[in-house]
Amino acid sequence: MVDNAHGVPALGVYPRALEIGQGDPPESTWPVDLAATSCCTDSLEVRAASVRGFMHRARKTPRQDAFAVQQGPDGSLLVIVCDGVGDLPLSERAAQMVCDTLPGLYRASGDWVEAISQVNAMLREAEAREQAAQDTSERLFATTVTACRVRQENEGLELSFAYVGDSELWALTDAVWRPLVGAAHEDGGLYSTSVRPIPTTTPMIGTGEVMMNANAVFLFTDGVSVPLAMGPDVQSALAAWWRRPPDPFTFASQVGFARRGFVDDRTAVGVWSVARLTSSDRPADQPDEAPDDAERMPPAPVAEGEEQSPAPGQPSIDKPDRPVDTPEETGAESVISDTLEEGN
Amino acid sequence: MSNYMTESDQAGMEGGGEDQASLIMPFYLICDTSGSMAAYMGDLNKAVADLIANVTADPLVDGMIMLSVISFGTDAGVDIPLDYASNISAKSLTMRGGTNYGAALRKYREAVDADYQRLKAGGSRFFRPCVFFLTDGQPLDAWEQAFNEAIRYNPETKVGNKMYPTLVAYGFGQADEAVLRKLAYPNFGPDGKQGRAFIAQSTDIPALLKAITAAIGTSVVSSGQSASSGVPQTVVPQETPNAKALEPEPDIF
Repeated sequence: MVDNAHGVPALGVYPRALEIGQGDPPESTWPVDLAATSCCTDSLEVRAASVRGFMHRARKTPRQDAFAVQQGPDGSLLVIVCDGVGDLPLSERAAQMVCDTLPGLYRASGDWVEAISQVNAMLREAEAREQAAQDTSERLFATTVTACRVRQENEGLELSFAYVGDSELWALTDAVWRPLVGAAHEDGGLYSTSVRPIPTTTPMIGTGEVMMNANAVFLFTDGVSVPLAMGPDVQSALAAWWRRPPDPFTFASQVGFARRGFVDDRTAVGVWSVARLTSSDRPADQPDEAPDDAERMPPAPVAEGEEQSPAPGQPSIDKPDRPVDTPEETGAESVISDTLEEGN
Repeated sequence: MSNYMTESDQAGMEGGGEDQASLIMPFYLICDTSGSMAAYMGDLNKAVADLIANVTADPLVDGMIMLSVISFGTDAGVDIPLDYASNISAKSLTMRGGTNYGAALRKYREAVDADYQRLKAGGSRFFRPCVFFLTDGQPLDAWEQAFNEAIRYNPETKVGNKMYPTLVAYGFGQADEAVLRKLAYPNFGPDGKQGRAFIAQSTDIPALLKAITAAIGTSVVSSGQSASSGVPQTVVPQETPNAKALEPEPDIF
């Protein structure tokens, strides 16, 4: 029997992280241990949460993940997820700076590579200033970035994304998880967490554009994506939890699930297609005539040739034979274009 | 104090099982249990038990790392198979006669290969292994060949053991400084990721064993804690009380 008085959902064998609980009161007012938001457009429903990991709580180090959700051009949403590199002391600042500035830069240029290159330059300048202030030449911060413009089109969700480092982009279609951008984490047969974050002299920026008939897409930091990729029971639980957008408080709690051996910060931003949230998906305790919900979430026709849902309780992962680490390997339904570019 | 878990959450927990796929930082403690250690076996067993208890005491590190203990003398054997510390029951190590480093290194390679395959089959993934090698004597065998076969990797030619461990050697009693420097591995790469060796500066073996296993415990716990950075990595001990730190030998053989 799990003693779980701290309000943390747990997945798998008993995670001793539960013995840490929520950790001591923080020493700083920023970053907060839990950040969450929710929003919607006529066609998209969003839940976002970033949760300080158990190890950070236990060692009194701050949450270093960050996210942003903002309005994009032509009715789209812009979603950013960043994972500050933990072995540098101020990486939470880098992650937050990217989330604060990247949406605006993208809106101005409409080009992820240009926008991320500009953010990279800003970070380099900011780090140099901080190094001068601290009279040090040591690296002070770095972060991964995954950015995605999401728009509902008649054919499905249109995604235009870019990434630096190992944060990930996944799609959930019925109960099937599919990585669109993933990290290999592989080095000679051993697990490796080495990444090439920003700021750097020449950022390696992966980009891609995809049209897909998914229920939802998720941007994750590796605190979520690694246990998701490795655990069939995690895939099952998250597919069930996020079949429809939960209330934002429940979503945040679920993002912070306890799992043995996975104690890093967790960030997830889910974008659901309203058109895919059919009335048949609605739980039995929610009547069809629920007016607000029903008006905004019309039943959508099932696309011709669409995959059948797995049997209840049998979610699965549709993953390539090898880990995805370049856009060419996304396995997405229709890749409009993709590239891996060196930024300026 | 309420329990938040829903029925579906609890069902999820039942679905995991002890072989649940995880990220594993494997640590192997290779202990010299030759005849010259006979007078100190009680101290060694106590030190190993304390090490296991120290790791178990940290609920987060316990979920990140696994420990195994190999004893060696004339031959070698796995006395404690690789597992989470909280799953291990400390036991007396086996006395094994002479001091054959080659037997110890071959047994390590056999064990780590089997552990890797077993855990990989369950979906788990391995970080680079770390080996702590404790000896009170000089090798009686031609151990270099075993070292080449079981440990070494050439990063330029890509030949050898790609899954080479980080090896930290501790010597006391009759152990030889030059040999310990050859054991420290890798002898390439950035400073913080190279192996290391330590030679005792004291003849108080019980106190040394306690200090060495405490330093190992600190290294293991720090390695597990490095998960908070999102970049788990082996934290190689930089110092050990009453022991002199030695750099790896650049040209091993």
